[in-house]
Amino acid sequence: MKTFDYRILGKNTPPRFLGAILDTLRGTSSDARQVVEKTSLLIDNHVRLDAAIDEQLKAVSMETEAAAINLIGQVRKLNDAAVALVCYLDNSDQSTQSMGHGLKDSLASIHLISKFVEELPDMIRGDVAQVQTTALKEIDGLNSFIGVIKEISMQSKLLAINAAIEAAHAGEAGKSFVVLARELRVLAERSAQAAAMIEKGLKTAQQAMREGLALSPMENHIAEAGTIVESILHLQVSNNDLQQHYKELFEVVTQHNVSLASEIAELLGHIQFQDVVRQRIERIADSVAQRNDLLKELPRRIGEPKLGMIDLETKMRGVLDDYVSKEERHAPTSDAGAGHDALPKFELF
Amino acid sequence: MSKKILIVDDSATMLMSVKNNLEIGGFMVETAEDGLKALAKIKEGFKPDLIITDVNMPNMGGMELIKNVRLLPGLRFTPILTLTTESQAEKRDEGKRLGATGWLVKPVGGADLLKIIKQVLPGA
Repeated sequence: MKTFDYRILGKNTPPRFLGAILDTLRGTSSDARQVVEKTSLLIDNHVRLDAAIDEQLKAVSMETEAAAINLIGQVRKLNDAAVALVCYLDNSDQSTQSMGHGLKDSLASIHLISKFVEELPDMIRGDVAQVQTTALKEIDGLNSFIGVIKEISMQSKLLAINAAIEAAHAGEAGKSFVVLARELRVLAERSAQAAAMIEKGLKTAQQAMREGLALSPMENHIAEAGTIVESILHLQVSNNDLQQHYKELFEVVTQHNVSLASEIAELLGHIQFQDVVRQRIERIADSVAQRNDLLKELPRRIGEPKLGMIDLETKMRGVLDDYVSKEERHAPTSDAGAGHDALPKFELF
Repeated sequence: MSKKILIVDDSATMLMSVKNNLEIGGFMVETAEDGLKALAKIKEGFKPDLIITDVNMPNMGGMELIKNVRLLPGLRFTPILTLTTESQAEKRDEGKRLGATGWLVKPVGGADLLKIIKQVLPGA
């Protein structure tokens, strides 16, 4: 910000308007009265004008302050919105990552299940074949027992016939033996029937074992399981893409947000100029008020001996010196385009 | 936990601009319009980790505030930065003598202000 160099005023420069008045007063007394009247009117108008200007300057200070505060509020909202956006993206990224982990876990389980389903038919086939072989072997073993039963039945039958012949030879004494021979024949017949029934049952069992254990078609189920695994794989790939997309988006937005926050911080710094300018206006207004108080005394002092004018001139110079001194105290620092001898803008003790 | 900063200035623009800048920077901020109100806030129980004060204020200026704060128990070594339009060496020396930690001339850019605060508040 460019500032007025008050040093150019110089401490020995005579106040021009006072000199001009003194020159005029060297004329006639009626002229002098006229000059005093005119000067009085002029000063009165000048003071009123300054009062009006001062009022406007105060309004400017208030209005710019209100505008600055409004601007700060808007900037803050902008920052909050940017932060909210980053938070939203961060949450979305985390959700996607969590979903990705879930999918990965599910996929691992599904892979295991799929492998099991794939191997299951072979496992069942193997088990069934083993059971079948064992069962057929056992049935074959039972077949040999049928032969034994049949043989026993045959021998019992022969025995019964022989017994009946022998009983007939024995006459009365063989009567009870006839009963035994009859029972033996019945047993032999029943043994033969049982052997036939067992044989038939075993044949049926063998047939069932060979034909009835055909496996249900599992290939369709296996294909379905494969399709599911494939779909989940695709889903995982899409999820990875989505994650990558969110990551890139998050990085870009975060980068923009950092730069936006930095710009906002600088903007908030620049807004401080409103206070700097307000204070400068206040210093000007204060000096103008002091000057006007002295100017109001001018018409009265013109009629007084020369000493009164000198006193006024001294006071006016005092106002000027005070103003220049205040402005020097608030001079720009090295960071704001001042000379080499200026003090630094920041100083840590 | 966020560091607490007390900003003292009679300008609403300054209070709002510095407060927002520091809040965005992650600090917890309290404000006061002059030295008297700042002291009252401290006496009510607000213990700042850093005070940033203007110099020329009504009721109680920044220099008197620094003098008073240095007398309070627990705040003898609390960093105090002045943030003012006053730029001359005499005033800086006075501030240093009274116990100010640093001198900042308005306006201060937001990033610069945060950098300086990190210097006087290690770990912030």
